[in-house]
Amino acid sequence: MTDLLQIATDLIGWNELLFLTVGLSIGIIVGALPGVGPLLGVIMAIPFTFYTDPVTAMALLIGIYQGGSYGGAVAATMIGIPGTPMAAATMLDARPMALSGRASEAVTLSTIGSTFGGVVSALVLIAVAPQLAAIALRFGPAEIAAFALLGLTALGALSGGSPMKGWAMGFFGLFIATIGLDPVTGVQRLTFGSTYLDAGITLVPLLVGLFSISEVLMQVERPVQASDTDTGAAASAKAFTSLVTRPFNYLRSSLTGVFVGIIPGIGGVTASFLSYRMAMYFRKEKDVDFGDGNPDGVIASETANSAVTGGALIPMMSLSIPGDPIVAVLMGGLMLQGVQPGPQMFLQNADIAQGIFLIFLIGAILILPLGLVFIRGVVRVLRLPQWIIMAGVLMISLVGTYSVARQINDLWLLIFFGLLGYILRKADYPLAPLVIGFVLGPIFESNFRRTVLISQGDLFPYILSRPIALSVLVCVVGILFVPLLRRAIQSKA
Amino acid sequence: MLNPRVELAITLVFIGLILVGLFFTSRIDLAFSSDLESFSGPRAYPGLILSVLLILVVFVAVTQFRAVFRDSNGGAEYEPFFNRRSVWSAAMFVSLFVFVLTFESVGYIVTMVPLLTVVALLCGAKNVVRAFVVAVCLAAVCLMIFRYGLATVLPEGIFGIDAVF
Repeated sequence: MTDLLQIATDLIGWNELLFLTVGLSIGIIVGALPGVGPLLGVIMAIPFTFYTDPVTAMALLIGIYQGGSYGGAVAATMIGIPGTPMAAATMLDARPMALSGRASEAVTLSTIGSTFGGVVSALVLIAVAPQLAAIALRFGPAEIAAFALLGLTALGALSGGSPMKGWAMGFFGLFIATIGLDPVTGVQRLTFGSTYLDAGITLVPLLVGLFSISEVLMQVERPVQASDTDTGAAASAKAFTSLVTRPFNYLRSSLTGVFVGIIPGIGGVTASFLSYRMAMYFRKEKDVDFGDGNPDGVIASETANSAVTGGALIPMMSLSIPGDPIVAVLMGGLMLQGVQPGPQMFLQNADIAQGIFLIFLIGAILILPLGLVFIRGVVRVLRLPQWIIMAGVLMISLVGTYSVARQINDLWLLIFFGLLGYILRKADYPLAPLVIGFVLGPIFESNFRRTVLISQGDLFPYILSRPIALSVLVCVVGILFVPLLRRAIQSKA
Repeated sequence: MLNPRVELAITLVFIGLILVGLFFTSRIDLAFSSDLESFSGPRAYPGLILSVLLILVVFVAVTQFRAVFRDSNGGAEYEPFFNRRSVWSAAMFVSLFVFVLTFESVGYIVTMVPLLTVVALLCGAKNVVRAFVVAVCLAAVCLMIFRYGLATVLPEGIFGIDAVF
């Protein structure tokens, strides 16, 4: 312990802490802005790292990454728009909590979850990064497709009253994701000759349109004002007791996030929804229903998506494999400093590697005080008149979406998905499964088709020779059919 | 609870759209002629997804069809799909449409301020002047955040008013 403190004081100074705090603050803000997100924040911060040392540079970039992951939950809770795709799962319960006057509790739960998930993933990063990276190397297309399929099993569970509607929306999302160039052959699919659609439907207009524009249209028709918001120490204290009353949820979600994070190409959305699904499975009878403001839903999603950030750094640091676009930019930032991530990094630049690990750990811890300070400010947003909130939501949605690629077609898609979301919500079709299907669709399709090509037509013998993929598929079958079997047995009895 | 007839009508429209989707999917070019037999062609995956979706939505339709013939709301009145305020939602949508149509040519400030004023009024603002002032302030703050904070250039449009900021 003394050694660790000595290393920490040697490697981390006030300069690094200042950059980390600035990074976390920027991250929370960009994460809360729909359409902006931590990726843009990290890209824009790269020029500011040119004149710093590697650890200071990474303090700024990792701070934005961690803060952005948390910031999405703030927007999801306060205004009902997931600032980042990962926050879509958080919104399912955090938004109902806010509407029933428990916004402060919901955001505090997100803050605690983010801190817990971040700290656990940092400890895993420090303890077993190289060993876990070796496991990640054994993941091929078959395993990634199997994990994507596992993520898709959450579809039926997120549908409230009618699982069939949830599945239908999930497949609708999978279908929307097929628009664009075929990932294997490059043939145009359902683009009707539009070069804009060649790249496929992008996530930001879909997400912001479905949740934000449809919310504005619904509010115009049926205004709903959030109840008086809980504030002060009582709400926060109530959220902190969850560490004692729901420790397994925190731990389970953290480990899920780390594990999903180390697998390149799966990402935080899968981790959030998988963890959410697991929390549903382990639900206590007396608890509020999921989707109606269950604290376990908020904890599961936020803890897992924060833990993903540490998990995603493991293959980057150990094997030089960036698991998601943000980590790719982080890797680029490190390489600009003349440091090459990979196994050699631990030998040639061991002090930098240790510095990055410590920065990550301190960043995860700092989210807690920063988040708690931030909550006091953002909760006041809910006290504003509804017409100001809605005008602000619409403006940020439109400008945020346009700013991603400065394409007017993105705004057309935005209002199209806004109208679609409005109709689907009125017809009681759930929107969350559509988002899961849309995000996991391309991951599943490209990896599944690669698996088919690798297996040269003998898919089943090939899968049988891949123990990890096979185990995950057994889990998928179990999740899908065990409840049906149980119900059949109960109805017979 | 929504009237099952309305729910069924929406689901039937959905089924119609899926059939249209299946038609267009069947017209996707094939990369190789052998793709027709194999599962690796560009048509196979969207076709499979749409087929499963069709089956699922037909199940939903059957459930809703059965609900039409039984009183599933305990005699209470069903929630209408459209109410008197739905026309305001339509007005909101038209405003959004006009905004997107004119955004790049007319400019950010000139299009955003009227849109936000309309939204504010539709969402319950009582005073037009106050709604307009809030719209101007919001649009200006947003412009400065995106231009100076995030280095994103928004369309200046015909008057170039944005250059003032």
